Amino acid sequence: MVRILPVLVWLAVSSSAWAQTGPPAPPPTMPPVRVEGERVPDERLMTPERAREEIERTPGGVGVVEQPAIEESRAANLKDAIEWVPGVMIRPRFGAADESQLSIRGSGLRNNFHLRGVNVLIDGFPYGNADGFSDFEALELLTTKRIEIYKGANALRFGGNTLGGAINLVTKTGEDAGFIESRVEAGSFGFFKGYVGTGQVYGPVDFYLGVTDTELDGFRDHSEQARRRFYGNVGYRFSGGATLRFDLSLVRSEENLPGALTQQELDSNPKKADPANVAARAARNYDYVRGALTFRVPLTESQTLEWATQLNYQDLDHPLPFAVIDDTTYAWSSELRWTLAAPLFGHGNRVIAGLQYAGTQQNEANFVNVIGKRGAKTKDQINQATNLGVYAEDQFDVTPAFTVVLSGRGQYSLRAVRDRFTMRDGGGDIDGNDSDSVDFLSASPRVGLVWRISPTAQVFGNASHAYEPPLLLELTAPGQLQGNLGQLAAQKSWQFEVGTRGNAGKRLAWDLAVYDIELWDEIQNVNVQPFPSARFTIPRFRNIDRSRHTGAEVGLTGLLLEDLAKRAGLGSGLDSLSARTSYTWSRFVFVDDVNFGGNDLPGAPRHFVLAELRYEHVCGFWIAPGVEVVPHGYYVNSENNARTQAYTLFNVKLGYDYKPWNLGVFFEARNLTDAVYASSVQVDAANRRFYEPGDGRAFYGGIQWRWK
Amino acid sequence: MVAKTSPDAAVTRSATPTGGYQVRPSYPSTARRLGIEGTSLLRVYVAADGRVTEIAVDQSAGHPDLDRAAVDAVRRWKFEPGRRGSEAIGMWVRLPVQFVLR
Repeated sequence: MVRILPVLVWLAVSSSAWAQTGPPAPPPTMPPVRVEGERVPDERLMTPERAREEIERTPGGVGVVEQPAIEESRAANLKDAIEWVPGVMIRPRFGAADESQLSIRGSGLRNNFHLRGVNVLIDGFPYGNADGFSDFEALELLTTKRIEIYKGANALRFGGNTLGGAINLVTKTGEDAGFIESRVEAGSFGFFKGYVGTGQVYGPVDFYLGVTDTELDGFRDHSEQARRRFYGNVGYRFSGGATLRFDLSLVRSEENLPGALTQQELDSNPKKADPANVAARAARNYDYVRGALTFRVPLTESQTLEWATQLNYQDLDHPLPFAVIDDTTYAWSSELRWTLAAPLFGHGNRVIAGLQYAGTQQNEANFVNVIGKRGAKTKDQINQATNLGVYAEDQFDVTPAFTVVLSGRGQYSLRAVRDRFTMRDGGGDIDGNDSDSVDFLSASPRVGLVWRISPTAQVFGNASHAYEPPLLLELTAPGQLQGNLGQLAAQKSWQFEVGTRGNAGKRLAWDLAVYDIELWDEIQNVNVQPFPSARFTIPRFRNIDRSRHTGAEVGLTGLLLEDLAKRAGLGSGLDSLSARTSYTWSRFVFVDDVNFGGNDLPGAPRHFVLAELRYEHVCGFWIAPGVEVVPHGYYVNSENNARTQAYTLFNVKLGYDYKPWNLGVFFEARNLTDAVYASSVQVDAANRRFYEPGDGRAFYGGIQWRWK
Repeated sequence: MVAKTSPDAAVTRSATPTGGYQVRPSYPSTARRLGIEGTSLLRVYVAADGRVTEIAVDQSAGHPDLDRAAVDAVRRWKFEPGRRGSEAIGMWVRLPVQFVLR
């Protein structure tokens, strides 16, 4: 943050001061301007410009989505906010609901439900469980001021080393939120979302509180959703420059799960739910509490230490066709991060090093599903995950324009299960071994470079290792002998990437990257029928010996025309027409696999295109028609004998912002042609229920007001 | 080019920025990474209409980017011009811009 401290009071110079004769006196000197720079900025409080500068020190693909873009139109799920970042594949499973298939560079193609393979961070520290599992339902866009996306193995600055990278949600504070903020949006399929928030500062204390309520009937049968989220934080700034901040989230999430459809069902009635899900009253309901304490202290003028500790509790009630899952989960973590920003041998240099400890205990019970109610208990166990990580990164400016980044992460991970399902429960100690554990030790190096060829253009590249031990839910998947963990190896990969980003004034902005990722033991989800002719499937997991993810990510924004209204004789206001596109090319293949060598990995389109024209007028009006295109269907099973169909969606967004009042309204029409398409998929579903339909034609509108 | 007046007995009021310091210089990242701090002493010609028409670095802050950032910001300032009696006149002023890291 740059500030000018003194408020200038300029006194008129008395004429007598200059009433001299002889040689001309030097010109009068004014009081100085003071410009302050922060060597190590506070992640929570830095300006958007500084945030962009910081993220662009990453020698790999990144993206930033600022608050105006988040708030400009519907803000129901993560796709609404980050879909324009090329390379981010985010495909909602149930329309405007949160649950989505999120994949970056082919990460988590196995995610038939929830999220893994991408680290979700809140304010730079991991959210979710110690084993890498997280979901979407507790994340709120409207209490978020900025979303940073680190594509692929590019999140080492935060200690992340997953294949897919990281998504960092930076939350609002009292320093940046309005005194009153409110917003209401509503639309098709019973969608309603309301938000109210406040940010206030009293001397060294600032706080922010925000509450949202989201309701959705859903396009499909049996897809009703409700979320109530509270988020607040309070910060204290000590006189020496240290800050202490406490964050609290409370979430209640209720959702019905309509399941996936076969091709015939999708074609005949995309609103249909999987009958097995309806019969089982399939749902996912949970309460979530998260508290986090962050202490940031400048040690010297060039060193900062951050300490973050958090605890979350989740109480899950999850009826599925194969069982009613009842979990209570405690996840906790503590992290120390040290940053040194001081020249080294006369060159700019920054060192970031951290120590991470995270633990999760999950008390998991399963019951027979009797029309959504609990029948006999079938599973009762404690699942535990522990992660110890140490990471370091050095960013060294060989020249002012050329930075070399060297980094690495060491990790020890433990996964353990203890069976509590006793004889009395009807189970017992079947194999004489009622507990099991497995551990993983890894080292992930990384080297990268950033060359700033001009003040507004960069070239970057990196070679990065990623390492992902299996999740608890993969090791304890249904059908696993109780008290035993599945035989799964950790997924290893090397990413090789080059790219460029920058702009040529307001005419053109670009963001391009190409990558090749070589994988060993990629973890794949294969849904199997638990017994012949079963009407439902259960998830099973396996390793692929060798696989490869290759891709290209292209983001382009160009200014096409200016002063259209003036040229057409329709007034003199400034206006412009611009175009933007986000294109992702993905080729994910089995390289070496007993069954599927040479096939495509299922679950990702080869080409994914978003394109939009945008007209903006200085009065605050804008309109943006756009398309989303998957020009060719993609395989949904490893045998490569079933695939989705190509689709094109036509959308229009428009809005008006009255800046003097910080008032904005928007209107949005989606899927204007009412196309029937698969928004997301269940890969390798044995009963061929692969397809999760996207919403039909839909309309949304909203209004937002902020009093600073 | 018109000869620039030096401050002399005729100046009754010096040029002063309208409403305080306006466009804030930002700390250039290269100098920040090198940990370079310093003060750019600028010599600024404020024309009779209050605009900055000439600007020079009298004394460098120790890194060209710092001087450039100072010049780029101050060039866009609007001043209340100096006066000789009630008549607005062009004049030189000196302005130190201090760059400090914390």
